Amino acid sequence: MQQVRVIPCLDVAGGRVVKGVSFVELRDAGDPVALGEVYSEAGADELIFLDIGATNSGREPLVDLAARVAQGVLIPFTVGGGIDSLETASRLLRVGADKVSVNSAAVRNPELIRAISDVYGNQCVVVAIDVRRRGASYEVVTHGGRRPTGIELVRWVDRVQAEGAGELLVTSMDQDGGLGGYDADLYTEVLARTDIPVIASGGVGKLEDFLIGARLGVQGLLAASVFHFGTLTIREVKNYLAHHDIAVRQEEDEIDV
Amino acid sequence: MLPERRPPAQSQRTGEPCDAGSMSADPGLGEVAIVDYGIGNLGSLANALERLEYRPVLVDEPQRLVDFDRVILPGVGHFGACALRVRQTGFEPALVERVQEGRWLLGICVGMQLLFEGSDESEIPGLSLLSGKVERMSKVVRLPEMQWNRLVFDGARHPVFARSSGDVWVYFVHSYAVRESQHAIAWEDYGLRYVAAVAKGPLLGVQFHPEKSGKSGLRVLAGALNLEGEGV
Repeated sequence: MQQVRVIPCLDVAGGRVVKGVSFVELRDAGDPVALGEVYSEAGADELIFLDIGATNSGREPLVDLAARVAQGVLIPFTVGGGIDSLETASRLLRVGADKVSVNSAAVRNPELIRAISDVYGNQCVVVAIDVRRRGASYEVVTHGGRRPTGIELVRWVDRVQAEGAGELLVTSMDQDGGLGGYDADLYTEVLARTDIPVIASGGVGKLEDFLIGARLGVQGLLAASVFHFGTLTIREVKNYLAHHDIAVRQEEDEIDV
Repeated sequence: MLPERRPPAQSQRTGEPCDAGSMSADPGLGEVAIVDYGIGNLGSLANALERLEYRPVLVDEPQRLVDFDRVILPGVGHFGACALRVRQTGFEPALVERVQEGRWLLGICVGMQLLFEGSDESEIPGLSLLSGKVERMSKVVRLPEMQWNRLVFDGARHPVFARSSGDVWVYFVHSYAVRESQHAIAWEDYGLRYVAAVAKGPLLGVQFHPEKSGKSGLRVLAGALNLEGEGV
């Protein structure tokens, strides 16, 4: 049975979880170690940690911080942000990451995907793709949405899958942080183009948005602001999805009786 | 953080102990060897063992395995790479001997697959401790399977799963799986039905990742570690 994962995302800058609107206006949402533990206990199906300062300032990802977050979670843990070499990926996978997410560096050097995949397997490599709508299609953008690449989404999807991507994390930069719901056209296009798992990201604001996303057929539903600021709990989202016949994991002690 | 290789007494406890005291097995739980053959994220497994109040010890010298009553063979990624590494590092005879002597061994993910004769993924044979072959999963659904799934049991639950009475959701990451085994004790349904766990006496294998499966996973791990083997 296929089910959909509910995935809180920790966007980290300066050692704190932040979440802005379209990646620019950053608000402080808390301590990543504490939040990671809370989400792991609260029934999150996976945790994604993105060091959003890494690419822009040229720093390595916060390996030590990622390691501390990893120790507190008993669920799959993905780390991304500024990963530009096999060596950095290896360090993160050694300190407790299950998967690494590559983005800007993969656009510069697509062979990076192959390099990591060959050593650790494609299930370890998530390719994060940020896009903006351009008329009837989508353009890949990098550096937190600030740098256009001229690459059309569908061509990039073909390329990264050929290079050994195991999963795609696709974020609509038009929707991100805007709470207007996932971009349905975007995920319909990506799902038709690839047969590896796809995580939808960007714009979820209310329960119905999760349901619409799940019905598109994506394998993961990523959200940040609604969880960090307590608008919705993981349990509320899962109960709502289950109530609408979407297969989600619910542990015995998570099921409301 | 990875635990100290030696002495294990210096292995640091990390995180909070698991709040469900009933999950941990016996008082004064011992050391568990994790076969360190250069594959995979061993930190998560060490972390889960510490929550169950075991002391994980990474062992990279095959001759030392004999000192441990409980040995875990991890594995992620490519079957061929794992099968090659387990031989290059000299662990094959120590593992085979251990099983022949009826001692406790748990394979996780590709570690479980290695217990079988081989895999569609590679020409390199497995350890042939269990009969059967690992096959490419059906593409009627998206691969890799990278999700939680509910275990399916036929009849009474094996003691490994006795600590859970309701649904057991665990995390799977794989594109290859075993279809049939006379030693299967749990299955999953992902397009087709696949073997999720095997037991042949104290030789155990799980296709999923108990160390990544929240409290359900800890219960399974505790159930497995509590099984009797020769010398346990």
